Amino acid sequence: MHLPDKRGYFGEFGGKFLPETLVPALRELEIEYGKAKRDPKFLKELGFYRKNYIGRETPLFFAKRLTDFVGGPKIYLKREDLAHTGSHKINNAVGQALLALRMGKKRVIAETGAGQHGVATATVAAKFGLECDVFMGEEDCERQALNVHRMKLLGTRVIPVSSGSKTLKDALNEAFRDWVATVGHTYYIFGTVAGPHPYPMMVRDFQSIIGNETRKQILELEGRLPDYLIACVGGGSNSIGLFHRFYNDKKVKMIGVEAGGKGVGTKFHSATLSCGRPGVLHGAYSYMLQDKNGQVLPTHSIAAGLDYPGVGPEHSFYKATGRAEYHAVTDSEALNAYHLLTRIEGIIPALESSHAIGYVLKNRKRFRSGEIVVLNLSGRGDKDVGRNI
Amino acid sequence: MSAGISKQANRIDEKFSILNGERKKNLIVYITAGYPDLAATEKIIYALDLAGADIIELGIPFSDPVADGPTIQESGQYALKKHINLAEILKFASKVKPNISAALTLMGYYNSILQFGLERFASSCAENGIDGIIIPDLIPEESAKLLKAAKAVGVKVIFFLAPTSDAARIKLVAEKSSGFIYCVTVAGITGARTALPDFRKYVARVRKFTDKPIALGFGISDAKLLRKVLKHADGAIVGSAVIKVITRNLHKKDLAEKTGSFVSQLRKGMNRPR
Repeated sequence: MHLPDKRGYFGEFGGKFLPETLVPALRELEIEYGKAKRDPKFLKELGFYRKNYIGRETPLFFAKRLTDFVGGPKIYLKREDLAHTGSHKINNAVGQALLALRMGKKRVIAETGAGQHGVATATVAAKFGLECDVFMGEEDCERQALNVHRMKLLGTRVIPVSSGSKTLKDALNEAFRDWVATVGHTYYIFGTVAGPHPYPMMVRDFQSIIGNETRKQILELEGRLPDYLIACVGGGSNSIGLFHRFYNDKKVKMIGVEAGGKGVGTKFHSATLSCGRPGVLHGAYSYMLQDKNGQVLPTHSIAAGLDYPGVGPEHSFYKATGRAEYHAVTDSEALNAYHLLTRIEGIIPALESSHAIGYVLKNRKRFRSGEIVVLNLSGRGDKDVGRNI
Repeated sequence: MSAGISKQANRIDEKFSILNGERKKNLIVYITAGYPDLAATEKIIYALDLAGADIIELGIPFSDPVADGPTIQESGQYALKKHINLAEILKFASKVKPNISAALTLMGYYNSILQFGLERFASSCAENGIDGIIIPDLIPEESAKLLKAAKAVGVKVIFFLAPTSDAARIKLVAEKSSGFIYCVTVAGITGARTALPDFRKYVARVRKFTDKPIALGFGISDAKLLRKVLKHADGAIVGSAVIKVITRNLHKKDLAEKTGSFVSQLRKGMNRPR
């Protein structure tokens, strides 16, 4: 699949909707990224850091006791929680930091929700000697305090955002506002597959390592492709990272799991694809949660990394074309999954990833024995310990 | 220039018309619709008109205004809490327009307009006395459908340029923008500033590609900066500085008068009769 097109569209979704001031920077990024991904030196460097710094490849782990508990399909966990810094976010942060260096930028900024992308960015900034500011909603600073501490330890300035709902969307707004004013010397390490072109494409490419490895690993382990790929969806980077490589494997079903919060029938959720409709938010035309006048709605999720009213345009395209299906799992279902996996596999999953596990637990009957399910364990749950129980 | 249902000349063109070989200079004033409420906005508009604002830019509040600094953000959030919406603002425009001599434009983020419906929006603008529309998160490449709809009904679509814009961008924006070109003074967001970078070369660079009117905006906070801007540009846009006056006088009886007198002070600095 050769999407997006030159204008950054996945079907009808994507594009560039942002202030004129940023257009030259995005164009420069597009050109530079286009060169980098064909440059053997860049790819070699990226490969080096993937292996020796992130610790890839991450295992595809057969979860025997979870499999027994569910009592149907064989369940494999793609262990992105074992990547350096504890989540898949580092895959993208390393790639973009190398790009920032290539472009001669001295300062990087990022937005963060759960703090995983913030920590990943702070980490690469420390590693490569870049000045780093991370924008984080005030509410998220509180509920993900451990990650705030980690970022500060890494030498990053964490800027709490008090506008709007004080969560991820507002952190994004502030990051854009900063970037408009500092674009000359600052590189914006965007954390998910949303935003204006070329970010959805570029972040997907850096995250596709998840699916590339998974495909190879499952073929080695099982001699065939999985029946299901399941991953949580906030902005959508870990899920696209897993799904993308399987796009043309039409028999492989893809399920994106959104944050159902207190229930999709309430106002307290972040189930953008399940409950939203297309519009323009943060630079792209994609599904979003909005009222009838196009005002962005407040969201809720127990998982800060899913608490976002938008979603990447490639997911909107997958939904519109039926390539993937999207469902919601509530806070309490995710919490149950969090506890269960911890107790029976000895793996504490991030609350975000717990949504994907929650889907399988909730829909056991859907899966048959002999089927193979790959769950993306996008991050580890240390950051969540002590606040949710 | 305008075609379609609106036969009379667009008021923005009139404001920027050329008199004795020189283009008229314009003071463009931004206010947030519904801040603090529409009744107050109406009085403020009349006061601005009386004070000599040539073009009044009426902001459509949006939940996530990425191009705006805290002053305008907060005014918009205030208005949104009172559930202001685009349909109401358009209706409101048709009420005030016959009573003013200023041109009237709307400024709003793209999603508000997209959800309203692009064609419906363009024709509603024409029907309700809106002369032009300004959308800070819409670039010419993404605007084909709106441009077509606006052109058909004689409504101007004003695009932006920035100090970061290169020759190719300037060419494109100059071609697509109508009414005037909105040049932001600084790479950044809206907000009153005490000093501005030297914009002479920047304005000259834009002039090389177009003879369309050029208005500078972002950061222009007082008569001194305004004078400086208008030495080189055809128009100056003042927003946050005006909103600050509104905020200071929010619950006072003479809110409109105070806002008017601030703008009237600015107008005096322009050395040009209306």
